[in-house]
Amino acid sequence: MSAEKRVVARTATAEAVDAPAAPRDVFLGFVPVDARLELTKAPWLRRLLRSRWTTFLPTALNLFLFLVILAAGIVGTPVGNANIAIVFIWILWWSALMLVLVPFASRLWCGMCPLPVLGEWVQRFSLVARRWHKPLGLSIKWPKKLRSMWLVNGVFLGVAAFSGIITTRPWATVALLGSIMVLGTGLFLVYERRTFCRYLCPVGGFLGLYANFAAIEIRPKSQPVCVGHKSKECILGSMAGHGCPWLEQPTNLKRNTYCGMCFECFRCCSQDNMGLYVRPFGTDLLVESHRGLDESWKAFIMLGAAAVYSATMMGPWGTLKDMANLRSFGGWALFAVGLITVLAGVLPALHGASAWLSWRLAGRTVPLKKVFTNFAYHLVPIGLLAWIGFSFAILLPNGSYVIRVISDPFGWGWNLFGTAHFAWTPVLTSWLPALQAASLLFGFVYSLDVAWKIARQTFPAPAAAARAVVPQIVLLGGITAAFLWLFVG
Amino acid sequence: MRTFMRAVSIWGRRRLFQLRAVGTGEIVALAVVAVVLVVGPASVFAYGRWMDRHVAVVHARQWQYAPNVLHATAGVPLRIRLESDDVVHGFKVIGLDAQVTQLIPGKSMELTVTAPKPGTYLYMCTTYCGLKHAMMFGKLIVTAP
Repeated sequence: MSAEKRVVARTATAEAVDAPAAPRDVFLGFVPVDARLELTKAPWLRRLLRSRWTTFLPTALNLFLFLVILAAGIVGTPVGNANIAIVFIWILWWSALMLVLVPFASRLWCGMCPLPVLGEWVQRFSLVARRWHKPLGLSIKWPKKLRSMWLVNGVFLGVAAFSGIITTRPWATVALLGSIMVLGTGLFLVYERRTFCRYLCPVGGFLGLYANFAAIEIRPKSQPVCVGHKSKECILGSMAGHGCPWLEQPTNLKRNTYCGMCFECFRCCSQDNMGLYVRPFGTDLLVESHRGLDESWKAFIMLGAAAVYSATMMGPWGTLKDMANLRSFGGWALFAVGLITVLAGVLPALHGASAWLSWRLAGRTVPLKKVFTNFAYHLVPIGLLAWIGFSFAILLPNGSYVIRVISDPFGWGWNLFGTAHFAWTPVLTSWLPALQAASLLFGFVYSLDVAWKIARQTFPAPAAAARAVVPQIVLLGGITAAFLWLFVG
Repeated sequence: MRTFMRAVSIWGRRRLFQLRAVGTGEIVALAVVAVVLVVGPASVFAYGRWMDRHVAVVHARQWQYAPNVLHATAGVPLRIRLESDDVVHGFKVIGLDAQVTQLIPGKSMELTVTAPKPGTYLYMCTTYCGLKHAMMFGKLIVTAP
């Protein structure tokens, strides 16, 4: 190295040392975005996650419950609140999903979901053992053009149109779940690994989007270890575990969207380089690399669905209830068209208008599509928290039905555990408006924070970012006010 | 045909070999799945059949109970399953601690009645169910053990 180059290098080093450290990005002004707590430092948890039984046993238990639910939907009472199909799926499972599993355990449900498991067992030709052979079935790769959330969005809209029937009639609930199970099992024999869960499952779609907000993640402990480790067992599999069933590259996992929390990567990794971490909410929403219009639309659809379901199921509008409830075919058709229009048309249009304003105010320095896509991700916190508010309104008044139906799952007058006569007991319903308002407020504040961070990412100049975020604040304020009116107004 | 049979045979032997090589874990897991898929549902339905044989099913309809006479033994619990065939009814055994306030159509309700001493007890509808609501009653005849 010449003397001149050495001087330049030394000067650069000195400047780097002298330069003030960049401030750590923080959520809500005090939680560092990069804060992590590795749970798998606890040896017992690491052992637990590496065991194949950790996934198998909860799945088997859920499969048993699912079979009971399937039977109850077919031969049980048609009275929803006395049938385990309605009570377990739409009161217990849904509330558990939205209030606990998604925010605190990401897609843990996908890791123990009974719906595709028969297909997966057949595909692997094993239950817990890891045997090295070609999977049964055709193992075709999913077409490249369909590798997105668009199909999932379409399937979800189709299901949402029937929500009034599915959530009140046991047979309809079972028809939906049974169809998912049959379709899933069939597709496991045609397509590779968990293609169905990734690209078609209507539940997996919104779990994937909201898992980005979750306070937990699976990530490699050390990137250099993964880079230096050429056998890539977490992708290809080893005798200890299957390659990522979700077709992800665990070595390069940046977001929770398609991580199904099956822990196969823990089992495969001979370097013991995978970790389970607690982290601040919403960290993945700031990851720029994988954003897309398909996920943006998922955010609109879920946010809109929370509003429409709240209006339909908890609002005072009887006509709307009748329409959703298929009182007349014409009414239902109107409801279905209206729902799809609001979820996939009106909300994106409103967001598009605010994104256009942001783009104009910030000086049109980046493509409008990027502004539109990026800002859609700040709708995730408010969307999830709106669902949490909605779920409180499902669980608190109706949760006591769970105690009753475990003794009498079919509504046939059984009393298996002596709780069949447990009276309907609403719990803490006087707190409901406060809980819902608090959820919304938290979602609003968090969304504002994420919106500001996304604005800074999209428009590097602070002044442009500040101007760009104003329409987003107005949009988020409007959304929060609308939900407040629906919940407590 | 011979080639096909040979291919099936090779495939079958491979699978059999793999099945032998699976170890205890897989066999335990197979047992769990067998319980989940077969024994569990079978025992649920067996319980249902057993329950059906040990319960008196009473249908409520405007404006009668069918049957309108039940027999029991003093001191021995009698399980009654109530089902409404039309509108919301009620059920109460006068003089005993046995009551269902809302018998909803399509939903079964079950209760257990224990009469301490022999005699005839009336049971009646306790939820207004139409013009002849007051005429809707039946008899529980309790005999000495």
